[in-house]
Amino acid sequence: MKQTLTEQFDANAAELLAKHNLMNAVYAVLAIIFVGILFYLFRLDRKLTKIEKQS
Amino acid sequence: MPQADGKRKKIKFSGDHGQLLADMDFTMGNAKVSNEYYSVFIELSNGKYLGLPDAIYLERAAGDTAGTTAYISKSSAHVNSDREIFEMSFPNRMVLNESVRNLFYHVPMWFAMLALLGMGCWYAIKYLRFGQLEDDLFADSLVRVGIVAGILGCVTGATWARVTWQSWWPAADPKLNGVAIGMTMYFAYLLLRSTLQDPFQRARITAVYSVFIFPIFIALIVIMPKLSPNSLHPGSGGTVGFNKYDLDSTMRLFFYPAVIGWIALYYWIANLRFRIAKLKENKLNA
Repeated sequence: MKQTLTEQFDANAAELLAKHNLMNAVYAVLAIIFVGILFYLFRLDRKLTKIEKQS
Repeated sequence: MPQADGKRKKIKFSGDHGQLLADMDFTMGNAKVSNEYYSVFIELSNGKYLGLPDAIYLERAAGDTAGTTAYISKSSAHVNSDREIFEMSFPNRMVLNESVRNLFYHVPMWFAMLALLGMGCWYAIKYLRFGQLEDDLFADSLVRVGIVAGILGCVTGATWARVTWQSWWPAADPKLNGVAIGMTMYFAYLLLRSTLQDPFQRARITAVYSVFIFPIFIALIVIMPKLSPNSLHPGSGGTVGFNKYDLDSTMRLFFYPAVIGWIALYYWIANLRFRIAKLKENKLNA
């Protein structure tokens, strides 16, 4: 009997869900955004320091 | 992950859409229980499973050193101790699973980028109309911070795609191709701006360029994916919109404030950058 994709997923749901805990993807995304924004702010800080030193 | 004794229990279910009411027994048998989130798997009468990842938080009962009894706390599941009724509502999406939370981070990046690039376009028009160099500097800051948001949107999207679509960059998706072209246009903006020295000439040329590429960018990442026959992204090319995923509108309650918050954050950063650029301009003229 041919199973549809949904049925296959349902049949292996317990296994799949235990294996693929996708919470890590959320942590990774949070870390990327945090590091990215921080990096940009540091660059702004450097720019400001340069201007301050010119005077 | 420690498991409960694995005994299968017959549970009576009631409740309506998105909510489950069940009679359950929570003795943990001989399994060692640590304080952690546990998934609930329910075997349905047709032999299939209904999986609810991290649905309940089990805590060891006070004074229990062996860790064999547990009770549920701090989760969307509630236990009515008088009647031993187990009640929970749990939004579970196939494939996305827990990563559905990225809706609050990945999607607002693009909203913020569009908002900032749009405002940048607006200030570019304002510069072309009134010729104030300040407007040009602010437009430039908005576009640059918008590009930062766009890059973060790309990277977070790739991370999310890796775990759900099994590829860092599924090139068949029209939205991704559109973004690749659109971002290149904005990188060209940065190049163009860096090559021009005279502030007024630089302002005029980049303002015209910015006004031209913004509508093209919108067409590439918003309109084209909607017209295309297939897309992996929700709301484009025959894929259902995200509102179909969010059955009880709980996510909406957090999504809209998240969008406003992210836009405000990027606007603030753009404003800081503008003030620094203005300071630099004043120093050069002094």
